[in-house]
Amino acid sequence: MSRGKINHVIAQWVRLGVMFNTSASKEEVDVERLLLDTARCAAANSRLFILAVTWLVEYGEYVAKHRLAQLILDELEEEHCQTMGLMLELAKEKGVDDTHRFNRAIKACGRGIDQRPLLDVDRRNDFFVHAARQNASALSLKWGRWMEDFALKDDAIRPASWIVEHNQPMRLRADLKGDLRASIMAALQANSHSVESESELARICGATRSAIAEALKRLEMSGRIKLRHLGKCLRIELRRAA
Amino acid sequence: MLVVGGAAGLLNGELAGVNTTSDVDVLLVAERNWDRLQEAAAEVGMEMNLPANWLNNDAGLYAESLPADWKSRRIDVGRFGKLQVWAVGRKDLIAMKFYSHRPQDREHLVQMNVTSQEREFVGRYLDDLAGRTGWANAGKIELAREILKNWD
Repeated sequence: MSRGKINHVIAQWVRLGVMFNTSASKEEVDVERLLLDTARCAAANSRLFILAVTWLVEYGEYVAKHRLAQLILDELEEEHCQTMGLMLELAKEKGVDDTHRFNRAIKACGRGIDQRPLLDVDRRNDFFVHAARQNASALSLKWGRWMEDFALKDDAIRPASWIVEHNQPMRLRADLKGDLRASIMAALQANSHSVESESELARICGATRSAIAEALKRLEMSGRIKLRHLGKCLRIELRRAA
Repeated sequence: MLVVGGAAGLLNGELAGVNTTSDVDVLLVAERNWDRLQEAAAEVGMEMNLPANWLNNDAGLYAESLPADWKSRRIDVGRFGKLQVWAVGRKDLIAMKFYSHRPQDREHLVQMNVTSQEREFVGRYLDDLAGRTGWANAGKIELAREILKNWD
């Protein structure tokens, strides 16, 4: 991944409250796609990886879990799935509550198919590769991306009050605790605020149609979406105030 | 107050912002002054919505790892009212990063393009540190030596 792309990823994390010494992205952040990009460039920046895990431990409920799982299946290259799996399982392991968090997305990552150091800095020569293997945590060995265990870095993550002040959609995500409704809202936001059918939405979110129908009903009742019947189709639209 | 770690690298222009975070590790603050400094840091943290421990002296645990003569190489960051701020110099930062050798330290060392002269300095520093700290840190120092030897 290019230096420019990595800097863009870091700027998005700054907007989400991670205190790298650089400017925040001006665009609204697509949290799930940011996680995919983080897995793609984690090898180049260990601090990025550690801070992403720390953020997930602290603020995992901002993540739309169904959408994340489906994006991993649809878009994440096989070589980066192991890094993503390690990142999510570390967040799950290091978190103190809700141990079922990220299970669906972790499952979508598959399993380790090859073995190597996670970080570029550990691939410099045979000595570093060998040392990385020797010092690797059990979880990183399981995922085939060796890295030593680390302490969470919560002194470089801003409080939730700052995050919601600078990222309006996070308020709703926090209320929905990352459940299927959060995935539907995130999918609508990423698709120009509308999706043409329930089945399309089910595909994007990786959920059954009945689960989608139930979630849509609750979102409509709370005034967050509008359902338009167009012939046989059901068009789902985000309400502007949502 | 002496700033160490990534913040020192940023302050003396050795490291880029995307490779460092805004938390600040400091050393050599007298206990009575540390209380006052913490109060001021809490006030700034509240005003700027920073995490509670954004300024910390956790690194104080490793104060013994400062290389000899570090004072002659420290960088004057500035005086802010009654607070004089220094940052460790490049060679000392490199030495301490070899000693710590966490993944982020090794990445910083790559970015800093460590010269052969600086590696010789680190070698002498590790010898001195082994003499000063004895067995307590022997394993860590030995691994740092191995990393230094294989650094290219």
